[in-house]
Amino acid sequence: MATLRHSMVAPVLLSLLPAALGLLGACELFYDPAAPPFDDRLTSTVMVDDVFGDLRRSDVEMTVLDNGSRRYLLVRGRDKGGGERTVAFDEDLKVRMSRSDVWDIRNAFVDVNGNFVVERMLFDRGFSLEEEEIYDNPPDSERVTGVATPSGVVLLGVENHSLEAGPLYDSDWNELNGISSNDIHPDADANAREGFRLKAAQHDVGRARSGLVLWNDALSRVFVIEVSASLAVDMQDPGLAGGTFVTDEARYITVSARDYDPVFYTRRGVVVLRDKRDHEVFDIDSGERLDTYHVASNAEFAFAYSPDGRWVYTLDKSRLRLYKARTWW
Amino acid sequence: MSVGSGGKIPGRRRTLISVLILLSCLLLCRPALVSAESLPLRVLVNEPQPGGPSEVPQESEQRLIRLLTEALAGELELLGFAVSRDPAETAELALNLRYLLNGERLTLVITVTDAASERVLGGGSYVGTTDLGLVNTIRQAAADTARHARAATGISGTHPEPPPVLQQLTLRSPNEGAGVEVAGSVPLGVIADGKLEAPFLPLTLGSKLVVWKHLDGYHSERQTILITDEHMDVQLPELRPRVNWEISLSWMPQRWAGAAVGVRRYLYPNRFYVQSTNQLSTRYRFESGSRASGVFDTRLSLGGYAVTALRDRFRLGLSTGAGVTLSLLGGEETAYFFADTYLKLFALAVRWQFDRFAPFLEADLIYYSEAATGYLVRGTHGYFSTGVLLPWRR
Repeated sequence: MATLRHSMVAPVLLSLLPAALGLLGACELFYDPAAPPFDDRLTSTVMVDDVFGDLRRSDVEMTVLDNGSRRYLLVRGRDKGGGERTVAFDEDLKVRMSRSDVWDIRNAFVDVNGNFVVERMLFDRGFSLEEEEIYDNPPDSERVTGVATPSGVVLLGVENHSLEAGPLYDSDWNELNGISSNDIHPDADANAREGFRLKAAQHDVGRARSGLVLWNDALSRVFVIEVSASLAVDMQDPGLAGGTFVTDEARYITVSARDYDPVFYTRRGVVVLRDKRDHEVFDIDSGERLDTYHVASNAEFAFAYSPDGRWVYTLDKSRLRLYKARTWW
Repeated sequence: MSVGSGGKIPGRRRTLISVLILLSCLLLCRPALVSAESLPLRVLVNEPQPGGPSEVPQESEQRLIRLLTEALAGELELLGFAVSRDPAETAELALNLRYLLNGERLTLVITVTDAASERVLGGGSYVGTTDLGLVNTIRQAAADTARHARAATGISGTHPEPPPVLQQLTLRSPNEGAGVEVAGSVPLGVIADGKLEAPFLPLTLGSKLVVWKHLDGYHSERQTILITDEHMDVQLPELRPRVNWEISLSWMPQRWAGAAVGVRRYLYPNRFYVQSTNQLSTRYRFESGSRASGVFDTRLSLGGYAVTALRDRFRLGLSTGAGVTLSLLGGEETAYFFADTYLKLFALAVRWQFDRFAPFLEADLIYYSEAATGYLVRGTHGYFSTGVLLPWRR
């Protein structure tokens, strides 16, 4: 009997060993502070010192565009000449586009043809420029993104307390319909001088959903609203009925964060980067925090998550090295 | 001992000659004998005995003995004692003198005993150099002896009860050949056959005796012996060998899936060292999606122990150095190899020395440079490690 008991203990202990080692590895004390984040999940890396200059004291923005078959990482930062530059890296981290006249990359989107739109520039699937100004009648807002729908592309912008939907463009970028205003959230005071701002948008083309990341100055909170293609069409024409808010029709979460904390909408959760050290993943249905990754290093990094939630890109601003890794949760 | 034919006088003999000259001067300079007290205490000054093996010619040593006797007797007479040199004569007190000539240093051990009961009434040890200062040493010894004698006889009439003193001290040690000294550098002798019979030391019970033990290849140690009995047999602890090489085995939490081994060579025993350390680890985190990696870190350090306490058992050390971290990361289609050079700016270590091992804790401040072949985050990073140091080779 005793022998049998002993023979059962060993397999149980062995089966618990990976879990115990995993727990050990999860503790911050057991992270190498010099190791870049996610280096144990690295799939590829490349030096970008031939493109960018000193990034240590400059803002760097990164976002990922995915049209379902091709995925690009857009990085905007200071180049070697000291000017601002936007670079598109393909899945192998090869440079496919490098321009100094592209600015608002956080709201870039994919059109109904699978092409990419950054500001008003249209790039094809290989990220070659097709049109300098693909549309000329944006909503009256500082930043604009677009949602690809079966009816065409609906531009979305945010103006104080309302979401401006439209115009609607067909697959050849002909304007079909105008703009409708839609109240965003009942807690937002329509009379307040400081309302919502569109910070970023990520587009999950495979699920026909887009995540709008809004910042509300009066509430000091981040709103992440998931807009489906059909809702985008409805908001554009005829627009939501009076008394109906966007958040009544769409899934959304509010997150306590700061204005400058990067937020990424992904298929597998909303990622909030607090002080660029803690990466927190929230479930957009429940609002619960699913997981947290603490970056042990105190170095300067920029991050971006892919819309499918499978990839995380890291740029070491000091070494000028770009990493692509699988997400941890 | 022989005298060289070239006319040179060996050092020890030269020293002895100096002593004899000084003692002769002391006797010649002695003023005329003052009239003794009406009933002076009678003191028998016995012939001085050597306290250790003599290396001087017998003739010279006899002269030394005679002059020491005369010098001490003369001083006692000046202090009002009736001094006798003949053991057949009647005396209340007996004075025994042992001497040890060690280079330029002359050690005198004097005891005063009751002539009838042979109980020790007092005494002391005196160390002087074989120069003019020896005159003062003998006068001091005589004055102390006179004070002890008068105090002893005054307390209880003729024969006071003397304080008990150490009669015999045996020191035992497993360190064969170890020398034992008192009072800094006065040798007591050498451990032979596991023990040393110390010469007579008139130490009162309750007093403390500090001895130094030394042996080539071992750390010298000081030990305090509390005199608790007239006959004592003391076991001295084993001396710690002086280690020149150590092996370091350590583990670093931040690189927890691995370990390090190092070799340390002391440039100055137990103080300053140079150390080579090699660490092998992986950053694989035993989680789903984590990829295998190999990290090899090699460094060269130069360090020393700045603070020691509790007989060198507790040591606080500092070190600095440089190294390189080689990382092999497995990508999806290719592996990546990186070499990151670094400076160990500063490391603070604490070690606790046991007989055969020494656990330690160390905190390092590492600066990774920006070498093009590297990938670790540039800047300073703190690391902790713990381990054990093992003596490897003497």
